[in-house]
This record gives sequence, C-alpha cells and structure tokens, in this order.
Amino acid sequence: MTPALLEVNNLSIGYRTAGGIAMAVDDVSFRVDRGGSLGLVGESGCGKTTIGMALMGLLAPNATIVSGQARFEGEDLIAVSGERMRQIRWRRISMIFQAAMNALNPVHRVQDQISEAIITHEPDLSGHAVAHRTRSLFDLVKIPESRLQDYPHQFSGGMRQRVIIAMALACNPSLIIADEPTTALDVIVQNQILSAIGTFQKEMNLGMIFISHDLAVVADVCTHIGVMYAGRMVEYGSRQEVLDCPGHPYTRMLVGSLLTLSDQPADLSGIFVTNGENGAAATGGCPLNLICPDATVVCRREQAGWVDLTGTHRVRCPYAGKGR
Amino acid sequence: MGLKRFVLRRLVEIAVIFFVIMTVLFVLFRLAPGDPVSRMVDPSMTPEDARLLMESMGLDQPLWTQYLYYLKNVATGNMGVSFHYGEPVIDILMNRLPNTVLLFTTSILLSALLGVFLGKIAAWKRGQRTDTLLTIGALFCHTLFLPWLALIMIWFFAYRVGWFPITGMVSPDVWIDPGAGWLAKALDVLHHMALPLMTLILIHFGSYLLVMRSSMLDTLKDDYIITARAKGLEEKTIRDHHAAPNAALPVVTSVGLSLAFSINGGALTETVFTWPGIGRELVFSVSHSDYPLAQAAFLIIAIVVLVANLVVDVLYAYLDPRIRY
Repeated sequence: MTPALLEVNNLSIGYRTAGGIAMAVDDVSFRVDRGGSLGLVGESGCGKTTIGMALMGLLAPNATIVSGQARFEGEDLIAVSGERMRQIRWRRISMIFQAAMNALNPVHRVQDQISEAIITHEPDLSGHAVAHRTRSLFDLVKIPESRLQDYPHQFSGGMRQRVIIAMALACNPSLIIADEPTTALDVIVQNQILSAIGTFQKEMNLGMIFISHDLAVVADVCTHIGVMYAGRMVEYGSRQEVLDCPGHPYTRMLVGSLLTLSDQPADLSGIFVTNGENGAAATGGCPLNLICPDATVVCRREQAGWVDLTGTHRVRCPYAGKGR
Repeated sequence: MGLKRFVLRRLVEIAVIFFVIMTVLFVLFRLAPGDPVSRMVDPSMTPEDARLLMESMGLDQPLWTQYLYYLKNVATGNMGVSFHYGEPVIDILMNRLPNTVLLFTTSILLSALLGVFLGKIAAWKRGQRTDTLLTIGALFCHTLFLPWLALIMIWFFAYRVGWFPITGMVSPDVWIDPGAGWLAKALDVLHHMALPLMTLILIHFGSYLLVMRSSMLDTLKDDYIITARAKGLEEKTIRDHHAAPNAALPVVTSVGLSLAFSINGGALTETVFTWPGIGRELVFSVSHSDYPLAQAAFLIIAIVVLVANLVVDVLYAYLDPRIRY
C-alpha cells in the first residue's frame, strides 16, 4: 500500500471547561490518500469540525490535544512548531469554508484576498505572476475576470463559495479540508459547487477531508466515509461498504433516512431520535447506549472495540456483521 | 442610488433643518429676558432718542415682519453688528472659526489615531498586562475633569518647567516682526497649541481606545479572521490588515460626530487657554448679552454640524465598501 497522504492515529481532543476537560474528539483514526476523499459525517457537536481545525492548528485557545498523531507528508501536524504550522497552512493544507460564513473579509477586494495567500507563501513570485495565477483561478471556477476587483458582498452566495474554492486552490495544496462547503446553499447551487469541488479534487489529485452533516452530500463526493457520534468514530470504510452494508445502528439509521427516488419507500423503522446525548459520559459504555434500539447490558457497561468487517470496513459495535 | 443623488438629497434635508434651527433661534432670542436695546440705551438718552433707536433697528415692527427681515438678512449673510465690538459679527466669527477648527480637528484626529492604535494592541493582548494597563489608563484619563487637567498642565508645563506659553495662540513679537517667515509663524502657533492639544488628547484618546478595543474584540471573533489564520498569514498582518480596518469603522462614526460638535464643545478649553476661538466668543457674547454675536455663533455652529455630518456619511462609504448611497 502506498503511504497515506495523511494518517491520523488515536486523536483525542478536549476542551477545558470549568468542570474539567470535555472530550470533543475521542480516539479517532483515519487515513486520506492522494486523490482520495474522506467524508466525516455526524450531527452538530460530534467533533468533526474540531478534527479539521486541529489539523490546521487552528483550535480554540481552550482546546487541548490529549493524545494522538497526524502524519502528513512525513511530519506530525500535532507536534510541529507554530511557525512551521503557519508555513504548512494553505501552502500544503487549505480549507474551504462554509458558504454561510463570513469567510471573506468584507473590506478587501476578492483579488487581494486571494493574492495575499500566494504572496505569503511564495514571496519570490513576481507581481505579474501572482496576478496571472489569480486570474487563472477565477477562470477555473468560472467567474469572469472582470469581477476580481469586486468586494465579497457584491457576489451571490454560490459565487462567493466559488471564490472561496479558488482561494483554497491558490497555492496548489496537497490536502483540502472542506468544512460544510455547501451548507446553506440552495440545492441547485449546492450541486454545482459539489461537482466543481469533485472535479478539482480528482483532476489535481488532491486529498480531501469533507466535513458535513449530510450523508447524501458526502455520498456524492467521497471515496471513504467516517461516521461520527459524540466525538467517536463509530464506522469507517469505503463509500460502497458504508452505504451498501452499514454495520452500526447509527449509520443504518442515517443510510435509511436518505431520500431515494425509487418507488420503494425509505425504511424508517430503525429511526431513533438523537440529541447528541453522550451515553459514554453517563454510563461508561457505548455513546449511543441510551438511545440505540439494539442496546444491551454489554453496551451500557463497556466501550465497544472495533469490529473488522472486511479489512477496510470497521464498525464500533459488538453486534456489527452478526445480523439481528 | 448614486452618491450624487445622495448628496443632493442630504443638501435639501440640511436646508430644511437649517431653516427650522433658524426659526427656533429667532423665537428663542425674542423670548430671552431683557430688551436688546436696553443695553444700548444710555441713561442720558431722551425717550425720544430711545424710540428712534428702536425704530432704526426695526424693533417697533410686528414680530412676523421682524422675522421676514431676519430671514432676508441671514440669507444675504448680514448677521448684524456686535453690540460689544461694534463690528459686523460675521467678520468676528469668521476670524475665530479657523482657530477653533485648527485646534479641535487636530486634537480629535490625533486622539483617534492614538486611541485606535492603542485599542488595537489592547484587544490583541486581551487579558494580559498590556491590556489591563491600557484599559485602566484610558478609563483614568477619560474621567479626568478637563478644566482641572488644563490648569495642572498650565501650572506644570508653562509655569514650573516653562516649556510652553501660558496663554494665547500667538506671540505678538513674532507676528509684528517683518522678517519672520511663515515657518516661524507656524512654529509659533504650534508652540502655543501644544498645551491645549496635549490636554485634549489626554482627555479624549481614552474613549476612542475603549471603542476600538471592544470593536476589535468583536472583529477578532469573525470568520474571516479564521480564514486569515488558515491562510498562514503572519499574526501582524492578521491584526493590522484584516481585523483593524473592520474594527475601526465605529471609531470613524464617533470621530465624525466629535468633529461636528467640537466647534462648540471647546468653550471650556478655549477659555482656560485663552484660545481665540468660537467657543470663547460664544461664552463672551452670552455673558455680555451680545445678542447678534450669540445668534450668529449658534447659526454657524449649526451649519458646521450639519455639513460635518454629511462629510462623515460620504467618507464612511469610502471606508466600508458595503455602504453605497
């Protein structure tokens, strides 16, 4: 197997609170290959964004990385110095931010916001070369060059998202972290943006971590899927494996709730309501033990270990693959 | 709407507001106790002379006729003759106006620059000792009583150390000297201006610092600051190029308002430092019942406030690209 572009091992991240450290990410491992894309799916607060921010070295000041490594092109992102991390940011790992966010500075022209990233990381480039690259980035995301001089508020939501994508590609990174890039866009624009992201990712052979709460979107663009709940990864495998034979009750529910256009109605029998309850904190068992319809006494008592289904498809549930 | 249309509309608004202010002033001065002529009437005058004087000033006419004369005079720039100086008030005030504008515009701009600069640093070092010292220092200076501080400054810098002149705006010997060039004169004014300027800056920079600090703290939570960090920009670039320009916008509003009101706000300062400006003239005219002078001073202040507001509105559009008229 070729070495992974990014290999995250046993990453645990907590936030210091008045009542001690609250674990936001608990023992998460995954890998991303060059040209591959991993979708991190889970509800709000499950820790997916925290993982993205940790990889960029942009965690909030009260966050602390308890343990784990993130090997990226021969370096451990968790251990590198602040100055080294600053050089890695955008040059080698860049981010596509959420469309609804104010990710672009309202008082600067978009051209300046893109070229600023290029100039920071490639200071030897001539002004002409920077301008040329900025123009070709706009061509790439299909925005007329005449709009380079515009301010962010002069763009529509979809176009602003394209600008953000162009900005993310500015320094030819090898890994892109896309954090809810299509949330808050209408479905048609969402579709355009998703296909644009997918195209660039494949054509430029980029690794990508795609963070979303929407399994349907992740299923569209990703080669691998990691399902998260309450800071833990509960299922990890290739897109086909996770979608076709989901092993974890939570994944089964997510897959079951996907809308299809077939005449078969979606199977809603396994649906249970989650409110981000962390059963692990309450009982020391599986984080889902309070709500999972299949939970047994064992689930309440102990954390489930990984069950390997196919060698690449892992599920954190003792009953996975055993049938019900 | 284009900028031109916006300015035109605002000019019409300003004209209407000015008309209202003019009318209110007219009524106020007619309501004021005392008879304007009583100060001019000499006890030795015969009642006949006094009546002639009243007639010559149109004070025997009905109020609405007086009002029409008043409107006509204001429109033609004839604001009357000062009782005290015996000169046209418009000349007196136009003579004082540049002095006030020079002192207060300079002091407000300098205090805003200082406040923005220090407020930016305080917010950036939030919770650290720099922040605590700056915030406490700003609050302390902000609560100082201006006349007290002014007297202390005069006592120390002008009397004890003798670095600056005690009063006035110019030294007559420099201005009388035919050999003195414009540079010598400018330096002389600067030398006189130093003390009032320092006093005003000490009093005012604190509020700008506090506004800038809290605005900057809000800005630092904005998403584009995370973007700037994610882009791997240097911390200094993030602070000065991404956070500070956005955070400074509320300060601009506050500077604009201060500039507009500085024209009359300086009565205390001008009196303590004997600065020959509008504020001191206003105090003088009121205490000496010099009605034409007071009335004209109020009108000029109104015009400056109205126009300064318009200028700030236009300026704002240049600083924040989202605002277009």
